[in-house]
Amino acid sequence: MPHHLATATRHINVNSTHQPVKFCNNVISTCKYSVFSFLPRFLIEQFLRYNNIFFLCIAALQQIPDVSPTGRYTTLFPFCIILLISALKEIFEDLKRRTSDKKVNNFPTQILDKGEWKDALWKDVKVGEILWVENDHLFPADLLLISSSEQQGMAYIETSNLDGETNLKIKQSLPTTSHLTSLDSIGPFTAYIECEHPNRHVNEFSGNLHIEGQEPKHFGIDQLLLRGARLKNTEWICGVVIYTGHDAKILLNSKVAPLKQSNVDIMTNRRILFLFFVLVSLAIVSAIGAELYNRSYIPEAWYISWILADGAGFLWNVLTFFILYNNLIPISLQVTLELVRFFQASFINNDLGMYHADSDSCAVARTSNLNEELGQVKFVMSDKTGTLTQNIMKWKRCSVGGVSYGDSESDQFADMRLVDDYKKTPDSAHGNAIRELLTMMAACHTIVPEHKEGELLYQGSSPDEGALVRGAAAMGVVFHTRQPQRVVLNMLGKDESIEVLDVIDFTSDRKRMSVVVRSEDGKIKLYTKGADTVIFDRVGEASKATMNTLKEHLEEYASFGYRTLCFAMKEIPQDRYAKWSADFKQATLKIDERQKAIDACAEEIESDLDLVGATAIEDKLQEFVPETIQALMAADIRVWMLTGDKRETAINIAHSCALCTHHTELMIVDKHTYDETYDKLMRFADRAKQYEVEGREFAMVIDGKSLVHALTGEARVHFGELAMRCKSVVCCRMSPMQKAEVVEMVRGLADHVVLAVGDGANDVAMIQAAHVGVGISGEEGLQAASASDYAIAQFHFLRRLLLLHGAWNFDRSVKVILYSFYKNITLYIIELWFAIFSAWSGQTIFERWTIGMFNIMFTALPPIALGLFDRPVDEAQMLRFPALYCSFQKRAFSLAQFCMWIGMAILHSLMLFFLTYAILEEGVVWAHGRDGGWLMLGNCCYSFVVATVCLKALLECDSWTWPVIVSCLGSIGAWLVVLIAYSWVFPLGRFTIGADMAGMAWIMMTSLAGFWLPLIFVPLTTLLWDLVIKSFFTITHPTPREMAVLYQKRHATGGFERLTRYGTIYSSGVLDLFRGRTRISTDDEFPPGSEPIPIEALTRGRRSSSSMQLAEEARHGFAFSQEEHGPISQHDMVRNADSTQPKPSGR
Amino acid sequence: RSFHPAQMAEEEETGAHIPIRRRKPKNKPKDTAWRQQRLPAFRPVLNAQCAFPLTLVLGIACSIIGVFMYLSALNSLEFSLKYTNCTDKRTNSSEAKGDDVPTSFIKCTFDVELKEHFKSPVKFYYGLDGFYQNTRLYMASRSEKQFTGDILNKDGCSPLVNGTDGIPYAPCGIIADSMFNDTFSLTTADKEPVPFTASNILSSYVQDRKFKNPEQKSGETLCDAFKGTTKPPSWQKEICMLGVGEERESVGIGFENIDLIVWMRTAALPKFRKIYRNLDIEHDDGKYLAGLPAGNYTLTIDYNYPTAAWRGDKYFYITAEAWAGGRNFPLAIAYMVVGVFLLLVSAIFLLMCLRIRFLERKRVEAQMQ
Repeated sequence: MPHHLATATRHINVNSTHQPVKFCNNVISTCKYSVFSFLPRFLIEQFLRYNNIFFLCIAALQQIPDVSPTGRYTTLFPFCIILLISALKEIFEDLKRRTSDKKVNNFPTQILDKGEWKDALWKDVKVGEILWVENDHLFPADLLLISSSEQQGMAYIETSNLDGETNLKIKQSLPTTSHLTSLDSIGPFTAYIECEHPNRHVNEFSGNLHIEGQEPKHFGIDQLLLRGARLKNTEWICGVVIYTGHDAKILLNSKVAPLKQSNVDIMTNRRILFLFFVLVSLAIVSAIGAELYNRSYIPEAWYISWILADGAGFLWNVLTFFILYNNLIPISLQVTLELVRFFQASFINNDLGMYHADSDSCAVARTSNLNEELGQVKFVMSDKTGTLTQNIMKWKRCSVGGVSYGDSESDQFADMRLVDDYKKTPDSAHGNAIRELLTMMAACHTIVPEHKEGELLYQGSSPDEGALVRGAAAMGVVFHTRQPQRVVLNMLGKDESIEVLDVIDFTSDRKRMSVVVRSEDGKIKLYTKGADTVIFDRVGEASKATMNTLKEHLEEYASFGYRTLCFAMKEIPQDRYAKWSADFKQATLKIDERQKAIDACAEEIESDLDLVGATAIEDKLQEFVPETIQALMAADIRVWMLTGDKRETAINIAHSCALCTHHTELMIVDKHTYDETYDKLMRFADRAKQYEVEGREFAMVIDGKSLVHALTGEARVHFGELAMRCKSVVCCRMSPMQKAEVVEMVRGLADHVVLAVGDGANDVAMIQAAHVGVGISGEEGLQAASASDYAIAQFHFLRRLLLLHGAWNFDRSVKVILYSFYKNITLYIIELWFAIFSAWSGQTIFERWTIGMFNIMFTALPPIALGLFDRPVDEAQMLRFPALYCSFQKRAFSLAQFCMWIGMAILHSLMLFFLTYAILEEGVVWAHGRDGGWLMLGNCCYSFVVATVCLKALLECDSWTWPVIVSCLGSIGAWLVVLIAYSWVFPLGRFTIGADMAGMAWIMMTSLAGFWLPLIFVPLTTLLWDLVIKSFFTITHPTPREMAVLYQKRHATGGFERLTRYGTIYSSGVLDLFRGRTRISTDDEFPPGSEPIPIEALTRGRRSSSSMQLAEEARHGFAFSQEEHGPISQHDMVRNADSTQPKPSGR
Repeated sequence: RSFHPAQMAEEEETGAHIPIRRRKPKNKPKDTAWRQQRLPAFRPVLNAQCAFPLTLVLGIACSIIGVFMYLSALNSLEFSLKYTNCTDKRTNSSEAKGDDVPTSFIKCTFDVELKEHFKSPVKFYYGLDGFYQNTRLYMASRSEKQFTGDILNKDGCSPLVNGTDGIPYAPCGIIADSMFNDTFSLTTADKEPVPFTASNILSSYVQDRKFKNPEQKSGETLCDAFKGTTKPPSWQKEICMLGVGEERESVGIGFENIDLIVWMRTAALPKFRKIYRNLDIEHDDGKYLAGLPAGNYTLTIDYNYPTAAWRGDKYFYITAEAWAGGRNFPLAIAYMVVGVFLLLVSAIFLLMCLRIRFLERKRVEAQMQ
């Protein structure tokens, strides 16, 4: 990058305590509040919600004298309690965030201080300081690489946290500093750095290093070690801190965590808005009623005609009724939901089924307001590396000379037949092939061996090569020394030196890598390894025979999802080599079209090869990944894989994790221009329709470049259409921002809930863009986990998180919401019926404080109990039948459900009021003939309402556990106790509180006919309708959940057969849902809830038994990760490495 | 010091998946039923087998309650008389028909024929229809504190707080002002008065706590204690004179007057009845111990309370109630209807249940063959 930034640059004094300006410190904070900002921010947030504004208005309106029918403080008081509970919850959650920040800020590191390495914490790191970072540690800040333990100041770093690429990247320090490898030299080192201001470009950086007495040196991204990356295969590095804390590129790249609102919240707000309009219209209707009375009756009635003189205008009446009916909008809904979600979240946190013993971590719900969102997920967007795969490569199989060695069961290749076969007949063609294969595995690569404490370690940027070298070593072909011109192998106990003559780099276009070597016996050999298609094209006639068996083997390996690599070789005559070598040298020196010249040259020599064999490497999946993905897909969730990796690798993993099967048609979009992409998408969209008709499985594969086009303009529509049809989609070569774009695109397509799951910092954008972000909190960095809404230790916990917690929580939260609407409408609409009998005066039928306390005392617990302890369908069943998940979604928070509940609420309120009216019409319900008056009616009605509403909670509850029963019956009891206590309050000092209630309990409770008998029978009669309707539907149209429960209940006696018949008699459709999409085994064994069903064998069996006809290259497992176009070419890498040189200690 | 990846790989080569526990699992959630959501649960599923017995039991229960209430209603006796138009039969013809506020004393008599013997306890009620004692501002217009003896406390009495001369009303507020003030007396065919009593009309709790006359210093009369207040505009008597002359009926005087207290307990609905007096069974040597015998009586009403303007009606009731209070047929019928309905529903569920069994058996047979 040119020096055009000179006007606005950051100046840093290296190794100095004085900096020209004050830079931000290295403390990061994800907290929402500080001590001072808490109150204003909290209040602003609270009053951004409709219903809080609403209740604030009501509380204000109640202060106007003579308008409120319920006194001044009956809304204000419960409202304050509710705000207080919300505040406590917010404080608690923010404290949790603070602790997790603290953990990151307190990671240890080492800082150069007065010529000594001092232990320090991340938060102490300051700009300009020199840090010491050891192998396998994360960089605490953006660092300029000064020197390292490796030659020429090289350092391998793993950036999967940042960009998701699995291979290691090589960084190299400037030559002027790379010698600073000892404390003596680093200690006094001073310099002056000029570089860009912090920005979010991860792939661009530029600056100048000024060392006294030297020319300024330019440095760039190759010298920058980013926070969030991890040092690998390098003992230590020294670096100067450039950007700290929130200036670091990774933090600049992470957006401010957006406040996510769940769909249920949005729906609830809409419903509340609807109720608000109902409320306004009721107020107006009532005010009209009042107006009629004001005109006809009241002027004549001498005892109340003075009301008119006071000027009770129409608008005042509207206000009065508005306040009277205000509780139609449930005041406690928000706080009930918050509490429920909070504890639901703690159920998630405490779930043993999501506890990962190895890492001693359990699931963490970092935000609790998305719990129910987990139950509505339609799309899962998953990262690959670290999420689906462990990023550990294992050599599993190989095929030599028509024989396939190894098996898929053992952890890694351990088939000693390979060596035995060689030892038996070392000179036969077969023996020779084995020997060559092992030699190639051990010699044809860019790995550098390292002896450390008597152990041999292999370091290199390609994990595939590492796996092969390690595999060869396990077979007795140990690569132990690399020198610039040669490698030394221990060939089954005998050292063998191989001279490396030329290295032809691996590129993704060439899909192969070649090495020209001279073996000990003086023969010049070309070793080539690469993708099968590429190798097969260059194989000579002699090997055609073995090729077919090899193809079969490759097919088998691919069916297991292994990454395969073909090996070929040929001997080159001395003279031919001499000629070619000269050409090649010339080509490498070319300036124009260098790569093209090299390719041409390589093509010339890489022909007429002898096929040696092939290897298969397993990119180890995380535990139970295929099972989890199958379960998710069975729950009608679309699973997308978004990865920064290559297409081949991606497709490979897609196969091995059951994202697509052998029968899946892959639709690959890999065009580079807009028009091509557009055409392709159009064609695929048509084809998808056709496949749908034919009932074939299909999946789309798209790479980052095409995606740019696919997301622009017209193409977006087609892409969206296609994406919606595909069961699974693989997106490869994605940048972090593209991942987020894809997520946003899918979000925008329809009202579907998108969940993103990832483990690295490269997934942060995607996690934040999705409706629900899930972070894998493995051993990797904490970025993804700390940006996520839910953090889990393993991918397969997703199944439990969604299918169990998600579905349950969704069902529960919807119940809580609907129930809250229901109970409020049931109680408060009674005011409307009473208004008919109270001359539309706005008089309440109930005592004012009992109205206020309804939501925060007498019916506060049942919804919470419903939200926490209801288990719609048992755990085992939920996990066993993923189809239940989508049936839960359908039942959802639909308009029909809402109307049903509201209808029930109105019906109940009518019955409750008019039954009470019928009982107390005469007002005399005692043998002693007293009358109870206004509150006898009000309190009786209230008691019946409380009883009805609490019993309704029981009726709606699918599993009666003791907390549910206690909270429902206890609430009724609580009301009776409070009633008695309240009746004793008056007179209390100066207050007139409870004057109306004085003695009411005694009056009511002495009436058997007016209170006790109706207390049992009014609620029962009211709820009969629910009971009858519910039974009727359970009998005639059982929902999947009811069938699941019945199934479980009958399992001991009749088993599933009976249920099936049951279902076919009455509703075959529902059962199809059961049978069609899920695997139902009729065996009597239930898998334990937390154990995923082992279906791996099943899918593999199916795949391996299938035909061999597939020719499409993408299906083959070829994948090879090797850094291209890095600061050091593979050729230079091989040429410069010298494992015999001792490494500097840096101390 | 650091943990090398190659070492890790090595370990995996040798020790496969066995993880190295570096520390005790301190984050492991506790395995309790509560935390793991495994509380024992009962799952009600309303299938035919369950719904049938449920509806059957409830249906029977409702029917039984209905029948009981019906019988109870039959057992309670009630004589009611609408006397709104008593002015038609007035003994004193000084007033025009359809009066509003009578300016002078009106007395009217009615013949009351009790066809059955009214068993003790016998109660007398007055009733009003179309009187909205439950309107919001009307109900609010009272001072609870004043009734507890703090006579100058007028909180909440608006709009009737002070008289024209600024003297506060006692009792203040609209409710008290609109107090019902017709009086009733019943005489037998022999012109002997039927003894009334106000005792046992109210629970002592309410009486003691909510309604207290102001404290009288020694030698003071009640009227002295109420000094500084004036009677509500519609009243004919001062508050301290309320109940004077009815001591025999233990009606209470001033704020403790039973009629005032009963009136102050506002009714819930526009048609209401309020207790007036009980039959005094101890009086007259236990002549009425068994209740009010069947026969002819004469009801004499001192007609003071105007209702004609708002088309209200006034009633007088004599009742002998059963355990469930007054004659309430509609409720009893409602219970019976619900009960019968439930029995029908349970029969339907039974049929459904049988049908399922039948189809199942047929299927099994078909399979057997």
